[in-house]
Amino acid sequence: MGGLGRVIWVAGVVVAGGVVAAQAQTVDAITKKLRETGSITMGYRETIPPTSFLDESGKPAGYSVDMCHSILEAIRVQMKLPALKITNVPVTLQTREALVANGTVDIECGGTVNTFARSHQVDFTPVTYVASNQFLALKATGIKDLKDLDGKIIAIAGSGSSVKDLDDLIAREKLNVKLLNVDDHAAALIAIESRRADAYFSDNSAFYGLVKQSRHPEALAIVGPEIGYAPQGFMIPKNNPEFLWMVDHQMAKMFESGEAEKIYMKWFGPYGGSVGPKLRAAWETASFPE
Amino acid sequence: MNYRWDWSVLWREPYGGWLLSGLGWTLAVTLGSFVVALAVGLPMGIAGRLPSRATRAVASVYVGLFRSVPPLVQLFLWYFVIPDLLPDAAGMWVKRDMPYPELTTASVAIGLFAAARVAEQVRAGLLAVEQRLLPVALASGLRPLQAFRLILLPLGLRRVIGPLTGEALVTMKLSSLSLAIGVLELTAQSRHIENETFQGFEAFTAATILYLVIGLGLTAVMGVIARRAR
Amino acid sequence: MDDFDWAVILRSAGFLGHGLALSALLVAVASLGGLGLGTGLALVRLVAPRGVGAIVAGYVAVLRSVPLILVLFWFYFLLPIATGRPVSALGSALTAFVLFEAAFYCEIVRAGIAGVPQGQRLAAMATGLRGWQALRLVILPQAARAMVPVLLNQVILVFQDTSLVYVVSLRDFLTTANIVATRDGRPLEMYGTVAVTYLVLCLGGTLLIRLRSA
Repeated sequence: MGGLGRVIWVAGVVVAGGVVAAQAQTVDAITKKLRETGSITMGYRETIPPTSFLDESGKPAGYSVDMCHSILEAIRVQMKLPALKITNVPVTLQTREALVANGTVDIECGGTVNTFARSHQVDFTPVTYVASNQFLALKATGIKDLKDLDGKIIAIAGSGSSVKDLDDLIAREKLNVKLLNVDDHAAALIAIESRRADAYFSDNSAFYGLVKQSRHPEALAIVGPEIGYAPQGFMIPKNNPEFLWMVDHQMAKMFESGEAEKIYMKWFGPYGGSVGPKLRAAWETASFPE
Repeated sequence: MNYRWDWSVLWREPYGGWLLSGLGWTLAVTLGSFVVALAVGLPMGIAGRLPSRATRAVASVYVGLFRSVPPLVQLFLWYFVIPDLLPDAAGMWVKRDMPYPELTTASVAIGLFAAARVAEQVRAGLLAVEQRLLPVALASGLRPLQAFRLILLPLGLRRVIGPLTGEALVTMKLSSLSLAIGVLELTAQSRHIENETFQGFEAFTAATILYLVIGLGLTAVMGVIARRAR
Repeated sequence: MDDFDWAVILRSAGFLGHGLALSALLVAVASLGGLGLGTGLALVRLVAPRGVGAIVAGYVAVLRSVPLILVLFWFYFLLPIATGRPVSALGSALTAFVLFEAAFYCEIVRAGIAGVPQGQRLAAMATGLRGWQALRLVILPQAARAMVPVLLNQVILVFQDTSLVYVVSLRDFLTTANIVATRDGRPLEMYGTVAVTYLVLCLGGTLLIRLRSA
């Protein structure tokens, strides 16, 4: 058999194997696992303070982490489980959706924007944070407004949800800019600080952490208009209607009781943040009656 | 376990466009790196067999150095470290104003690593020819450098074209490293599609097939060159 | 070069050490697993009927023609779906490495076996040994002796390949150095340390292999 023939053989076997493997589906796998083993896998981000990050002792901490712990504890009580073992799995911008979609992570407690493309593959909890896109730049570049971007280099994370908004912005404002593709927020900060790029376009919830991470926070500034509506929620694998219902229910209780706002102020308060009108409206509309 | 099949992602916009763009960048990095690899590797390989202790030592050091550090580490050194070691103006030019900074950096970094491999292939080819023909050449009255220039070098280089095809394929595989510095080449784009659509099976299969196609293409091109050289 | 910060290297030595330990684990599993599976594949190609042999040949051909990074992504994505269970990044990476390196080890073993002179097999059969016994008692030992330098060299290549787990965020030597370089803004110190360490280990290893087989 010639070389190409062999390759086709192998490809055929692999595809057939994949088709067979893809047939199995289980509904409500998470609640089943909870009932049988009392354990759940929680995804978290390592580098986006104060939303989700690793504290000094190397444990996950932050706004999303606190929210999730609260939700999961309430679910434990509701399901009358004696104990709940939470396995923490770090996720990144690139891996978070895949890990939820294939069931490695049961609930992703970071900050993922709810888009229709994503909700085709995973389910989202009610809105936990409303972000919009903005620019992060070194003050030294003198960039304050859109018109200052002319001829500059903009860093953009290809796997974030901001790409489309940036493309639209460039087309609308007819901006003459070059784009630098970066893997994640940390790479973007390096790009800005090493002057490979002049500004980073991303949802501004990440900027708090980036400024804090920088060795010279006073040299950075968040500039430009706020663009787009980027509501974030936690991701849950599809086919888990019972678990999703429990999470929705618990979060509604937290919105109504003010616990959600307390957690929010604990983490964003020190930065001068507060629950904005869109987020408050989202919380109120998610609080269906019992 | 949930998997929804959807092969149409591969030709639906924008994903089809991403794949093609990734293909283009892979070809660009492969070509750029291979050019550097030949430009540096051929002389280094020849230097490795020249009848001169000094040039052989230089070649040895180059190969030892550049083959022992993983190519990804070399790429990081070229991208993150070296521009800041240059004087300010030069550094800024390398980082921003140079045309296609990531492509160039990747080509240099991958190319210099591949050059060490090419140098070894060239040296081995020359050595094989030397063992057969050097005694004869010297016996016929040629001095060592003449023997090298007139007999060993032409015949040795002709032998090396086959192995160089292998090196072209290795360079193609190495081109995927450029995704670490932001080049949206084929592997990066296939993962990008997987991120956006979760159709990983389709995306990675497409990338696999495209790499096989490029490989076959490179082999064919090198085959033509080999026949022309004979 | 005026403010080369040696302190950051000392401070992060422990963290880097953990990374190096993971790299060591990756090399060990990838080399041994790859060698085992590769030898098995080579033997299959040797004795199995043409159809099966062709499948193995196809597998080896494909894995040798695509980048390792793509193979890493493939398994990272595929394994949880195929097994229906969550698989850690380390598990996916180890699986990817073993299956990838097996393709290369298969070719090394095949070349080694083919390198044993034909006369050896004929002589073995003449003394009454049957095919399988001839293989086990006469051919393989001789092939193994010739293959050792090439196999050891492949281990060094595997060691270099393990640096690629950077793309799936596994904390090997390079990735831990990258974390420190990013966090403390010291790329020169960190990547320099990584480069020198690999240089010493790989070049040293190569020289030792050459001495051993000299």
